[in-house]
Amino acid sequence: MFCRITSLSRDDHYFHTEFGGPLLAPELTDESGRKKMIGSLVFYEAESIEEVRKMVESDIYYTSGVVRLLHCSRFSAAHSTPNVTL
Amino acid sequence: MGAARRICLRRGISQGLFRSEILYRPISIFPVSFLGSSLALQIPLHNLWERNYPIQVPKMRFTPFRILSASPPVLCNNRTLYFSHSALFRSRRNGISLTSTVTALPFVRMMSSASTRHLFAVYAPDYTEPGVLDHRLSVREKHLKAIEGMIDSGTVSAYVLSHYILVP
Repeated sequence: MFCRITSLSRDDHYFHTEFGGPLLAPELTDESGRKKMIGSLVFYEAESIEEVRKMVESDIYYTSGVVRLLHCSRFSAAHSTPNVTL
Repeated sequence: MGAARRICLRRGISQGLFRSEILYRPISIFPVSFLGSSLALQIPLHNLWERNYPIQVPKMRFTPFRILSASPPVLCNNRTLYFSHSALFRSRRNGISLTSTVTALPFVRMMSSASTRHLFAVYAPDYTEPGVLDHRLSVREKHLKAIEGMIDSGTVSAYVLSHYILVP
């Protein structure tokens, strides 16, 4: 269903976000029916952890004080569906 | 003997009609002015009617017909065509034309820099202050627009966009 499309120009500063999205609270919605988002979880593909930190800290969620970068570490995928290559 | 030939002989003009003249005619060099400047290009012209000189085989690869694609199997299965020297001379000995000696050799993908990329997981929870969700929703449009711009520039894969559409 989803095909992974990568850029053709792979230069040295090429950065590739695999996927990401908001984390939802257990009640999913608040009293007004909005999605109750309590954080973000993003998977990046990069050369170093500094690149990832730079990417996150340049996002408007971080600069405007919505999220805080709590944890950033290497990730090794043990299992992935055939359509999603991690 | 025609009239033109007779005129040429009388005036001492050789048109290269004798075989010896054609065979041993030196390479003619014409100075050609380039864009009206003082730079003059000297272009050697060979006698193309009777090819008795050895054919100059350029010692460089043929222009590869590479298919520009992001799909790895296409890159793997693609073949680069170039002239193999041994096949070229073998075919010349056997009298086969040059166009039939195109050899296909495996395509070698040339990477500019061997960079090792790793996967990183980022957990960024929201602040626990009361107005954070409203602030998050107000900034969300700019956040998604920035990601769309990165997708257009090729920084972020389109997979992110599909996820952001699925989870509005």
